[in-house]
Amino acid sequence: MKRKVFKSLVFSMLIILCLAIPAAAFDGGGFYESEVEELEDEALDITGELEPEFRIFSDDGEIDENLTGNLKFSYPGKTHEFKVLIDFQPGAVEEIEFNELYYRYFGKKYNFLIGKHVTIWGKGDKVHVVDNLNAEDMSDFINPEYKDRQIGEEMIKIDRYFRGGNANLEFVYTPDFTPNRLAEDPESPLGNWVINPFTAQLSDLTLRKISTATNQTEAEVISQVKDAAADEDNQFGLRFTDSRGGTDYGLSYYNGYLRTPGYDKAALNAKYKEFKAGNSTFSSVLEAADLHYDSVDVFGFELARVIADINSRFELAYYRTDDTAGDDPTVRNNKIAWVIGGDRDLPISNLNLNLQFTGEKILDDDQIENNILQGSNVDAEYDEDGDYTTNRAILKLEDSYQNEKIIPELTWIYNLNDNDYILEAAVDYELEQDLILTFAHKIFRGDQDTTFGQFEDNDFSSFSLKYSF
Amino acid sequence: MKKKIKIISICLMTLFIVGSLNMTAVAIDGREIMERVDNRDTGDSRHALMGMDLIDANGDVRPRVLEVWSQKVDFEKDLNHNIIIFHEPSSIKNTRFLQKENDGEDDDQWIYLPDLGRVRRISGGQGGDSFMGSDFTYDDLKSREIDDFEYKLLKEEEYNDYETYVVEAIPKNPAEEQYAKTISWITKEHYIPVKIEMYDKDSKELYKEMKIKSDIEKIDGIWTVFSTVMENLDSGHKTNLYVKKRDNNYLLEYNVEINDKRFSQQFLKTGR
Repeated sequence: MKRKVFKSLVFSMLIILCLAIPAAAFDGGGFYESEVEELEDEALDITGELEPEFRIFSDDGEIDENLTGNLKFSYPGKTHEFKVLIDFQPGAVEEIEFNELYYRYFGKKYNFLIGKHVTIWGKGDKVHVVDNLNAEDMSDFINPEYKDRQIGEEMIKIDRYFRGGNANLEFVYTPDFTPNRLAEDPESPLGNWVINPFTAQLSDLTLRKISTATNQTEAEVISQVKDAAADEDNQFGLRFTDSRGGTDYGLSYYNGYLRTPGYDKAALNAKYKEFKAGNSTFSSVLEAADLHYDSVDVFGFELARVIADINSRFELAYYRTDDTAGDDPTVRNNKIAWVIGGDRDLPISNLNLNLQFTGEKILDDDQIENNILQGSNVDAEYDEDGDYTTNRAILKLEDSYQNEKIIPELTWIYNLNDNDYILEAAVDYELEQDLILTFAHKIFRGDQDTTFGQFEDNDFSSFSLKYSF
Repeated sequence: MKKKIKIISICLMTLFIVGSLNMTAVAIDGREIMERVDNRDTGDSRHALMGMDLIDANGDVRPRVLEVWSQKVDFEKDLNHNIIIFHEPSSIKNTRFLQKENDGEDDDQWIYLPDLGRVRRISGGQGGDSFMGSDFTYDDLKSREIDDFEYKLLKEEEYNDYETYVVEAIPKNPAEEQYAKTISWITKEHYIPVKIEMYDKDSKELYKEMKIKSDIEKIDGIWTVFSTVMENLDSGHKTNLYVKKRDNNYLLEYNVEINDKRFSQQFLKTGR
């Protein structure tokens, strides 16, 4: 039924968005592109990045070598574009991956894209609540930049432009749904970033214990948990953006799934007891847990405006799941989420201060508190402290010297509720054109069961060399 | 007697004419010179492929290639739409910057960063910021509001074979401007600044200097400079901004028809 609904939606959107004039190539041309076109052999554009990195972990002095990079092939024609982006990172869940592979047609009032693509929505600065089409690769936790963490998704994307190209209606359909990707193998080069999927539920349900009990490696346990969640498909997104009177704004709608699986906590607890007693298998524990991705509709609003020389940004999203009443312990409740902040140059050196707050409030939390079975709360979202609003502050201070040859940066990401944080100091030095040397030191602080505190033993210093070609 | 009156009349007429000439020569003041600079024909639209070399005190060069389109959208208020695309080097390739000038309020500005994957609105009020790491600021690349300064003609002198007016400009509202004052050498023939000294707002000392490095020639009937160097005298860093050539022709054109879509969010995002 869902597939039929989506198919008819797709056809409807195609008709609406393609009603305009037959496409014509954008007129005019550039000196640079005409020069490139003359050199036929160089019509194919090959670019990429290579970044070897060494990380020295403060806790045990261990040195990890890391190599990331990408290779991009694109045919950047005036009306047609074909792009292939290959990412590689040893130790990642997918070490070599075609992260983007698409064809795009540029018409006068619309663009059409088909293939694997990364689409980023929202006015936030590398933090969003209305950007839901692509999953994140957390193999290296959140150490890479936001865009570098996005996993390409096969999609059809149609952009229809209005008001001379200043307003844009985007339609996206993806036949598949990709969940977020977590580090799987503790023995891999990125093994320090493995997250125990059961940390929040049962404090004694550690990966090591399960691994021993099931006679599997930790990587195999994680893989088994991942495979236990039911596959989902179909995502649909619609977004309108415009710019008027000094304000950029947008409205969006997403239909798909939450990327963190929900589960049946009561059944998981009961079956785990049997497993601990040796009366059940780990597979049956996972089966009883009923790992699933909750379907969701997300209604989003975004805005950007310069206010008192502050580049201000705002996003607001309402997530509506199937549990609108809030009383189903196996399905996440509705919630609202936000990003608010901005950046401003300071009158000292070339300093720029960037401060953003992101958070969410789970609705109907009284229903969560009421989901009690046999004296225990069985709601997957239950919080002992009764805290159903989270807030995170992201502060970045950046300066530059010698005409942007040297760029120091201080970043602090702080969870206000759990008091855990990441603090990173980094310096970029441009050795020569397209070759940047970076020194950084990063620390993680907080309790073991917090987002950042779980990596408290992962403080590291790093130096990397990024070459762009 | 009649002859005497005639001679006196002729002498008076001659004096008057010469005096008038002299009055005309000294009548031009700093303000008028800058008005002529401001009113100089720069075309209704401009398109150029440019090089921008960042040269440090050791002589190391970081070259950039950028393409600029500019179009007047309000002739009365002299407002322009401008878009700049960076083609080289790889690390900033396809970075695009769009500016829409406003009257009486900050300009609307956006930047598309390929690493961010989206368009970002930026403040038009921070014109004192360095343009992409160069010694030019965003304000340096724009025309000034003529009414925002007091002008004084300091002298007339020859500079680099050009007869010039030397004009001092002091901002009426120093807090809103990036320099304490500027002194410009303006050619009498073309009303083009061939040298500008910029004085630091805090120290009041000379700290930046802009000089043209090419001849002034006519392209499409418009007097044009093809190469300019801005030097930071404190750090010794220089930026050379020049029009690129192909087959001995400058890649610069005026008064071409530029589609309005070139200055839209669509073009900013897609480059098409």
